[in-house]
Amino acid sequence: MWVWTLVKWLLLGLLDALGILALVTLGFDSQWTLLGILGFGLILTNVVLVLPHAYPLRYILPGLIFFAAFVVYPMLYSVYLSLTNLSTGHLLSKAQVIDQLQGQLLRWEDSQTLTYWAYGDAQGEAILLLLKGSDEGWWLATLADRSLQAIDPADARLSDADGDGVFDQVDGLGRLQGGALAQQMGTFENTIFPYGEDVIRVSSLREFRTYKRQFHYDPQSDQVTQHYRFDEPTQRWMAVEPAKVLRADEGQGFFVAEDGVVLTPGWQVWVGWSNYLDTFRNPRIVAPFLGVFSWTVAFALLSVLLTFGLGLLLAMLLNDEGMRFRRYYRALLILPWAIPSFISIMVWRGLLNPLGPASSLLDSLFGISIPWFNDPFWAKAGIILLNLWLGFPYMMTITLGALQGISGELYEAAYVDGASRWKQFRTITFPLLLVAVGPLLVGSFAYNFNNFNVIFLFTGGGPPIPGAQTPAGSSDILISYTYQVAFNGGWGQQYGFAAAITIGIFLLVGVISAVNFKFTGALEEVSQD
Amino acid sequence: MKAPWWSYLWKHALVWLVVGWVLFPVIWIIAASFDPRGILIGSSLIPPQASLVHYIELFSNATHPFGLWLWNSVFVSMTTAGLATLLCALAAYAFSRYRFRGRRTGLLALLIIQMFPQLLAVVAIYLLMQNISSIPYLGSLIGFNTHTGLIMVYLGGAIGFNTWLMKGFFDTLPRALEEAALIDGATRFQVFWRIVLPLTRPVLAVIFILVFILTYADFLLASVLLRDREMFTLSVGLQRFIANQYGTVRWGPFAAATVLGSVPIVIVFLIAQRWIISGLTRGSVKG
Repeated sequence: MWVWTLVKWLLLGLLDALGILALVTLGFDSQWTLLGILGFGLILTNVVLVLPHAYPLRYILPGLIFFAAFVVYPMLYSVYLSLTNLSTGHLLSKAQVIDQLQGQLLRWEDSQTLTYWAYGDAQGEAILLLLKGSDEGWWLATLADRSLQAIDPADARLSDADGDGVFDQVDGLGRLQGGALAQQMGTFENTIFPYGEDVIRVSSLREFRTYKRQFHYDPQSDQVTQHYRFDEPTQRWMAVEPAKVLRADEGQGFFVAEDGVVLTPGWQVWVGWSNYLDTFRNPRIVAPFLGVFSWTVAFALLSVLLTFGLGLLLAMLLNDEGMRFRRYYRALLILPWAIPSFISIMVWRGLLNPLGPASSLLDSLFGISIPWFNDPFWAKAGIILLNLWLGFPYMMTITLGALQGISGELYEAAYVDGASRWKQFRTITFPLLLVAVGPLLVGSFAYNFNNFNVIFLFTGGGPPIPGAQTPAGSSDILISYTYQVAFNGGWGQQYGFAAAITIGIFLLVGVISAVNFKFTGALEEVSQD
Repeated sequence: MKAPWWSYLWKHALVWLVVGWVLFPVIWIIAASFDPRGILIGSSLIPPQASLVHYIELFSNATHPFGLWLWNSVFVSMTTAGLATLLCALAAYAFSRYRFRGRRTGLLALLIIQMFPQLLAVVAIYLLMQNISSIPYLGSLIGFNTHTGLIMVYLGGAIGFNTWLMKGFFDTLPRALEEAALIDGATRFQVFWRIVLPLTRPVLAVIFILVFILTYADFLLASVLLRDREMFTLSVGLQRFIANQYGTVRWGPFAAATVLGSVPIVIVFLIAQRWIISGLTRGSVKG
């Protein structure tokens, strides 16, 4: 037994070591959210494994980690996202935007070059640079704080032991050459030193060069000054006189000039409820959104009613013991449920395309050709028919199960009382059936409400709504609309707005589930034991 | 009151109508997969020169590696199903057998949270995986565009519902055997591993199959989280292959891939259907 205990502690130690290593890495990378999650998970793991009365949690923890990281956290993160403007053009933080703006450098006509030598520690990590300007001025640059100071070539920190005119050591650090130097080029390229009015940056393996900053950020006033601009007609860079001042607008996440011009990129800001309110007040969003919403409800409702209707009819036929071959029929009819739905959907898409065999069959039999993918009405009709094909076997199966649960005595009593077949169905079969399959119908509604595959793989949401300003197609349901808003490159990626829609669906599904809890009594199951 | 045979005629006719509708795409796609001309238009039911050329191409065409996609799908679904079954069994066992602080709250939270479809949080999951990707070293192993990352996301989605499902099964299991084993000196984990798990093997099989089928059928998460062609699962690969080119697409390999991609699932489904139905109808529909 003690061997296992030892193994346990060793494994925990190993896990902790790896975890701490990961935490440190994340810290250097400034990934604070992930660091928080991982740190919390690590502490929890230790607590659970060390404390004796946390024993049951040892069974729960492994699953809980995945559940928390990929279900709970994304839900909370969605709420956060829905309150921000995260989208194409607002993907960066403000600090990153300022960095990017200040990094936009111009090589001007009077640009100078400086020769440089790099000095580093034993690991080959560059720390200091010694620069000599074309005006014979000498400079010492420190990489860590990006500072540049004038230095006298006779300074005691510089030493030229072999007397070849090149300093071999600065501050006791050796000179980097060849491969060691080449390895540092990436770091150099990302480092800009202020140099009077201008800045200097590496331009080749041997030289630095002076550049002008297109933009300059002043932290005190929180303003960006634009000094140069690209002149389209002459295809040349020109000085902006007087320099243009752009103020940081935290409401929009942009630097905005007096004349209303904004600089791209902008940054991510908190926008409060505006993503939610936009679905009600922005006229370019409201109309398509209402269309998508009502079609989503209609689609889910029609799907449930039609699949249940056909499923019920077939179940009644197959439940009749006088019906021959009913086992074989059932095996064949269940096929659409057994085939992976994405495959059936794509196959139907192919069969129904204007050149496909289903279209030519319809044409030769009835002489009609139906624009399944180009007409909004027929696209929706096609989706409903396809979903009927996909969904009725499930309904048939659960209805068959429920029908078999209804006692035969009820029918005998009804027969004795002289009730007609139809009356028996209406007063016995149907009410009892609804009690049994009611929760499953509600569940099916909730499922179809988010039935992404049927829409996306069949029509792709199309045909497009003419003149729409958002990527809403006429057969899109909410979830496929969300996908288009978030990931369809042609329209820009509007993560914040997409998250707001998913939160809306979350709430709707929550209400539906609450209704279903009442039906199934699942909550009582929890409170009973 | 037995009805005469002819009164069943219209019922058979009705059923045959639906059977025809059900079988139409099935038969057509099977026929097309064996038709060397590789077209859907005018293919007759039994192709004149049936051949396996499309099936061979699945494994030899580098630009459309259907074979690889199929393998990716099977690998990802198998791993997800195996791990999910294990993790759910562990969690469900604790919820069923132990009484501890926070148990009721935990169960309630599980029940409520699992009702919200994971795919609604697809934007957040996408950004989370992008974020994980930017971690040095670790990111390229479990981040965006990796099967490990995709499996982890699927695992998260599979835990809630199936833990709940399995807890119900564990509750119905008598405890006498476990208590006897504890008295005989077995450790608590041995009781779980050696006694409870073997006893619940049929239930574990159900969970495994359910998770396998659902994972296999996913398109949305896989299409968002995988970028490279050689990482695609079958659903993503097929969609990219035929997207926007229905008129001109080469149907032969597509048909062969769909047949090969559905046959194993259909077989598993038909064998296990009674269990699947009982599993799916408890709680909510996830089919």
